[in-house]
Amino acid sequence: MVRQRLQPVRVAVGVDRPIVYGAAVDPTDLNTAQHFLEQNRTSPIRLETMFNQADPGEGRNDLQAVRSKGIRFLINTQTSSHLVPTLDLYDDAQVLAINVSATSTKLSNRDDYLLRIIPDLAQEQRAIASRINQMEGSRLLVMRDTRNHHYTEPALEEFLKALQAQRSWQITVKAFRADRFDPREEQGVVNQLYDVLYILGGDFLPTMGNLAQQFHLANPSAPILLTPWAHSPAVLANAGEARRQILIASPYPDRRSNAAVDSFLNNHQQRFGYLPYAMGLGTRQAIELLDQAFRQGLRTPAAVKRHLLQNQPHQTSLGAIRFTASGDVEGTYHFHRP
Amino acid sequence: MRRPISFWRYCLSQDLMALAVALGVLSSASWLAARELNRRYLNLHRADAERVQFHLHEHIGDAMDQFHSLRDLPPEERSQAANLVTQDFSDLYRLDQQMKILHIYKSKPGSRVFQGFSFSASPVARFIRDQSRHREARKPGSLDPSPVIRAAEDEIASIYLVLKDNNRSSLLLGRLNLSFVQNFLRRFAAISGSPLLLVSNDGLVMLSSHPDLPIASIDLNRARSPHFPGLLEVGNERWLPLAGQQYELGGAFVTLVPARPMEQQRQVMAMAALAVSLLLVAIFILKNRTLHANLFNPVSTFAEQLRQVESGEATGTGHNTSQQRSLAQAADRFLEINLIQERFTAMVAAIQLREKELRQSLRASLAAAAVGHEIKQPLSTIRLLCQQATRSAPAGGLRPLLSQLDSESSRVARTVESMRMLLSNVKSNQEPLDLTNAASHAITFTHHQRRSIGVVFEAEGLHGRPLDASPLPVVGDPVQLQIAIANLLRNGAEAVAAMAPERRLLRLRLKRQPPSADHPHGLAGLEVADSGPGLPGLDETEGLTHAGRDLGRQPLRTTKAGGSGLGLFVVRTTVEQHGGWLQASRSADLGGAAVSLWLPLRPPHEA
Repeated sequence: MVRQRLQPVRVAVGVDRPIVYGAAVDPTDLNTAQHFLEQNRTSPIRLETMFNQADPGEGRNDLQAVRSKGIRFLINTQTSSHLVPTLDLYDDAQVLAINVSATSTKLSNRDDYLLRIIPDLAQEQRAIASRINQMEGSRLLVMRDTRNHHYTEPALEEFLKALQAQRSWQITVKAFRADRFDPREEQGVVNQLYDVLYILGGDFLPTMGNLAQQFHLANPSAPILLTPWAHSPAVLANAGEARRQILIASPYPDRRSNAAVDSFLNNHQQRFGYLPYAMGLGTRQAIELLDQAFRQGLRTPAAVKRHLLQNQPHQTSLGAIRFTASGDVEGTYHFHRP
Repeated sequence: MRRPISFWRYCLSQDLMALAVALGVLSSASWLAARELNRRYLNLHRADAERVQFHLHEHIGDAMDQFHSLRDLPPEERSQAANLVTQDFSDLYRLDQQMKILHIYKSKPGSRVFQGFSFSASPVARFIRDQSRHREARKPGSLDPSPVIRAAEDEIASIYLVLKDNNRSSLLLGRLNLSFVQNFLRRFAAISGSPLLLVSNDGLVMLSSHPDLPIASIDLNRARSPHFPGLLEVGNERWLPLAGQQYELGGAFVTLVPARPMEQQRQVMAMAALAVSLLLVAIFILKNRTLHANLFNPVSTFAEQLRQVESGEATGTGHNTSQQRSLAQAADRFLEINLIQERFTAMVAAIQLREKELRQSLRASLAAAAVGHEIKQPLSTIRLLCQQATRSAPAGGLRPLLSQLDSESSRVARTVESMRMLLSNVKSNQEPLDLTNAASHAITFTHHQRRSIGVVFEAEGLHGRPLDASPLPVVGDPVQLQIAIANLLRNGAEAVAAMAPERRLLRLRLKRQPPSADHPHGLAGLEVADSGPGLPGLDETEGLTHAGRDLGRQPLRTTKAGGSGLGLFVVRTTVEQHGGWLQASRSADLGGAAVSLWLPLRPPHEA
């Protein structure tokens, strides 16, 4: 059989630059994309890298750097704080991005060239609030990471609104910077007695594990809820015995109940030697969507966007995806115990 | 049976094979050379990674000694002594069996762990469990460093050491913050010019001499490959990651070797190979063009001319001019070809001279025979009249004179008969030939005459023409037969010259008769028919109803003004010498004379 040789298309995948000097960069997204191409040798995709600086103020420069190379398709892994200031760059059909990591509602309902395959924070926070409302107790500590404030500020707002709509809580909200976490600074709040801790973290910094552990010392039986962005082996590694009390919200099903997710995580660990963070699932779905579009001969952002919004739903190895008219998705939330 | 090919093609194919082999050897050699150069270049850089590894190993050795010293101190003195005794450690803890920090002897400022912090979920816990599991297998007092771990204290790459405390119920855990390695990496990389990375076992980059270089992970399996690891593209640069041998660190130092020098090496080798290849191809083309022009083309020309000589065609005409020019050029240049050329020219000239002599001899013989024939007829009449006059003349008087006249006439007749006998023995070069070829040549020779008269000519049975195109093999002299056929064609053309232009038709037809009792191999026939007035004595009815009259028993008379009647006689004589005969009739469709000559076909087994 003669295989059709497809014209290659450059697709940039986001890689986060080190947040802490000398610390490792997690290559989950890039490795996920590489793994897909290793499994699909005939894919027309040619991988490029989009480096995300740690400073959200650099998000615009990061995107401009990719555009200047003539790359027209992105799998964007920027946080909301990186992404919101760059939204005007997606108004025209210069570049089409599928974001897997930014849930700000400022990105919702926009007819632009930024698509998302993760539900926005309103859905996420409502689900978390609903779950907390099912828990016992009345004292709730919310630790909000201010580094990714474009996400955590509206998320907190949505969360409190949803939470208080159903039940009355004694809520303590404390802001902290996950990248500059100092247990001595937090001990005054964290060492008090609470029934539930909600760490509203905006990315996968491992210090959320340290914070959970610090809380756990004073409140050994209190459940600890984490956002989807904490769904990272590095966070859990620092959680110590608090790990038993942790519940992580996730738009993806638990690997113990979903064979496709389990297979993806196992294959990744087998290939690269480490367990990826959960966002890698979205990256895998995004690259599959682009691959399917390119295999149909579509080569422009406008054509690919039209295809993604019109021919629904799209099947991926990790489940089906259905976009809204504005290129967002809606989904249900799962709560995993690590 | 192997199909023959030309010498030129054979030499060309041999040369092409040699060229292909040479190019293959050349490209393989250049590839191997480039590979060897690259390997040496890589080994130099791999040694850099191993030097750094060795440096760290020494450092860890010192740290182990310090760690043992701390354990030997009483617990209450450890906190005070920690900063003095264990300078290489950034953090020192006492842990309980659940890996929870019981006491902090030493802590780096800004550490994110605290008393009560548990390492139970971290890679440190796995390391401690592994240590316990393999404790029996190790020498007493020895300890192994942990793999490179991203520390819970500050996320910086670290190595942990663990020892059972003296009271046996707790553990001593020390952390070597590898930030000092970072500085070392930076200095070393500045000297070597290649970035150095510390990579954990799972491929994650833990430390980098170039923090601005955004490399998140390295495939250690490839980086440890003894030959050529995969390329790593970062920004506009391409690197080859080279890992040192695996160490007790559990990770590896990786040197990023710029790929550009290696690529340049390969490009230079490839360019050199390409240049030599082009040179070889150029030599190949030049050599073969020269050989073709100076040897193969002249040889081919010789072969063609030999063929022409064999077939009786004229040489040195038409499309062979360019070949002959190249032959002449080659003959000017090479002694051997010059000799061949001279001999060949001399041979052709000799053949042509002999052919000319034969033609002249034949023509003279035939002319003499014709004259003799024409003399014999009236001479017979003269003798008859003389004999009648002698019988009726009185004795004496004229009788002796008449008797003498008769006697002299008789002598002349005998002389003429002797000439006829001589003519019938004219030498001819009997050889196997194709009557169609002789006819073709005769047509060619008489073409000019037909054109000047304006004759519409048709030939049937010749090669490439209608009717039977198969050969008519006979034995005979090609020159004599050609002349005979040419005579028939000339007669026909002259016969129609007086006709109206649209009635000047002439046709040559080749025929074949099947074997019979008289002619066991069959007969080859050639008929020349015209639209002229026809031969005298052949009325229309006879011409149309019979196959024709045998001209061998007929006196030959001309029907043309100024004609001698010798043409047909020459034809008849020639045909008879070849064992055949002539027939004449009136052509049913053209209306004029139809003269046919018949010759016995050559037996198939004769060459």
